[in-house]
Amino acid sequence: MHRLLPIALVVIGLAVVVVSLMGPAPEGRCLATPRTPGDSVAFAQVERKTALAATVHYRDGLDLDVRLAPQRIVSTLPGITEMLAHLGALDRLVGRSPWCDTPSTVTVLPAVSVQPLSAEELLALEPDLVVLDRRLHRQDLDAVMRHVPHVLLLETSSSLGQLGASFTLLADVLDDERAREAARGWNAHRVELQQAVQILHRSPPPRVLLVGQWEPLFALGPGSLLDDVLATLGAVNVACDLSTDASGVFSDELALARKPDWILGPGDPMPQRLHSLLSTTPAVQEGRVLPVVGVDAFARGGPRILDATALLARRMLGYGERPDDAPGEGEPR
Amino acid sequence: MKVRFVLLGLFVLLAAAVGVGVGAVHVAPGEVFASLTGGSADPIVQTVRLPRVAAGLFVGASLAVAGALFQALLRNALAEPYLLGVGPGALLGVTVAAVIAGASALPPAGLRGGAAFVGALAVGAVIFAVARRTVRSPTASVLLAGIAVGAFVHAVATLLLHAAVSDWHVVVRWMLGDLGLATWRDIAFVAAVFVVGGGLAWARAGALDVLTLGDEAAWFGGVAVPRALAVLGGTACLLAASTVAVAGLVGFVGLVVPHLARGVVGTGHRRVLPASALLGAGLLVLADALARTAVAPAVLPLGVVTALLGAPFLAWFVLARS
Repeated sequence: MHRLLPIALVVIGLAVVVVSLMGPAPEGRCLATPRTPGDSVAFAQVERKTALAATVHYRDGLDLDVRLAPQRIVSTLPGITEMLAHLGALDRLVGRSPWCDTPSTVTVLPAVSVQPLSAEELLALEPDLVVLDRRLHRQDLDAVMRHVPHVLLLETSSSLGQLGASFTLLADVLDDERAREAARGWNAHRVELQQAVQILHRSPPPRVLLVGQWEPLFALGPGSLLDDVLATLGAVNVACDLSTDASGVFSDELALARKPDWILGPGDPMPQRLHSLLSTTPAVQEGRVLPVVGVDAFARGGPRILDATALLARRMLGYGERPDDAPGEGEPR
Repeated sequence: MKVRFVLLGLFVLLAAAVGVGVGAVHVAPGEVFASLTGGSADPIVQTVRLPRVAAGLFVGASLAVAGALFQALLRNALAEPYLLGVGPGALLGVTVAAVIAGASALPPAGLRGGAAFVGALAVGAVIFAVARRTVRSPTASVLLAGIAVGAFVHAVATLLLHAAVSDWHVVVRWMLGDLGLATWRDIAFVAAVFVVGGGLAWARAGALDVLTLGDEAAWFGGVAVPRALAVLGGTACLLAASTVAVAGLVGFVGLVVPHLARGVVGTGHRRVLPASALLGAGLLVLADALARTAVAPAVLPLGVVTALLGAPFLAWFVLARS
């Protein structure tokens, strides 16, 4: 066993050297200026083939045939259900995810398993359109598309702009002028809100820690819808250099060192350990810890995200306090 | 021999210095030193790094001593809490406690510790029973039993978590090993268990030496084998359980470190046990420093780092012996 000794010493030495040489992670450049909000360029175009058939051409080359004006729709996310309601197509909904509870009338519809998506349960509902989110359902897409003939992919979870593009695409496939009008209205409201809030952007920008889960500290980074909401508000996400896709366990010491002005977290109280840890940050010292992440209007990429964004703008930037600030649609004055 | 222990002590100090000195945020060495000596109070050093380093020292030491005990008691060079299923047994204990307590996430540290010990002891008893009753190829039988029991209890624990614990992401992270959740109270708990368990093991180091020669030799050497097995096996389970309660499942430390320690100080357990404790403490602190800095600003699970370092060692060890 003595032969192990040199190997062990080499391993130990290497570990020490590697750790020592790594040094600190550079202060993310992304902390200096707010990110530009995501674009609203359409990620897909509908090409009408016949009166009731079309092909959806996605930006990455995927082409999927869909039936226009579908009458038996299954929604796989609460946000998509709310979008259908906003577009006036709730009467065409025949199935939903277990989390779909808004509007309350949908709760009488059969629910399908979505973790993972059950192709069997989807087929049993005989849908002529199943609406999925491309990012959130990426692991199930191939399996579902093998069994279900008509699938529409939206992008409801990445940015307000892409949510707007999803509204437009969904309205086009619903092939209903009232739906198109509702989608245009939502997008106009989005642009109006973004422009109104832009005037209130501050320098230096407020730093925000977006917490998906308190322990361990699970931060929402670039690519998440809430990160895009922050960009809209001209705020900086302190986890902006988190390289994982949208979220990940974030360094405690970076959360402390980057001194967030605001912490937007889950609805449950911040655990004592984390509260003590972050007690020197402006967010904790000045009581700017808001339960946001677990709030449906924020968590679901649906129409209510604009109202929620307006409310957040009111808290963070004083939006709506001046007479010329336009309050959000449905926002209490 | 004294020189070797001095070097091991210096290694632990060096590892602790690296642990408090490096991280995702740059803190100047002078500032780190001032924080440690009370000259200033850098919150990153005091509230983030120091608790992790302290937890790493005691968790690493406990795991290594537990590994050395299991290897001696089972006369099996590949025995360690994780591979034997004792770690997963502790995990199952904590999970059952969380379900019974109706906890949404992890139960309190005290309850975790007790439940982990019960779970570890139950699995440990099964493993010891298999080990003592197997005449032909005991090495393979013990490991197979450990792997089978470990996989089973791990699956049951996962099933329970999925079905009954709402905030199971926290628990999954803890299952992968994490020193970041340890509070000073947790650290005091694992330190107390280490002092008692490590002291007891060291006091019976002579019996351990004799037990490695076989039951018959142990009888003739004046060791009451069943009693020694119960006491020292229970101690190993207690040490392993305390680490699971505080830091989750951290694999391979208990396997690798005792072998490294034997390479440094020889085979006598009066030397192997303290050497294992020192090496385990230092290595786990270094592994945690890697976990905190390798992919900053994200943090790797500690169990992933120790597995990345320990699994190749296991493969090499098996190949070398064959």
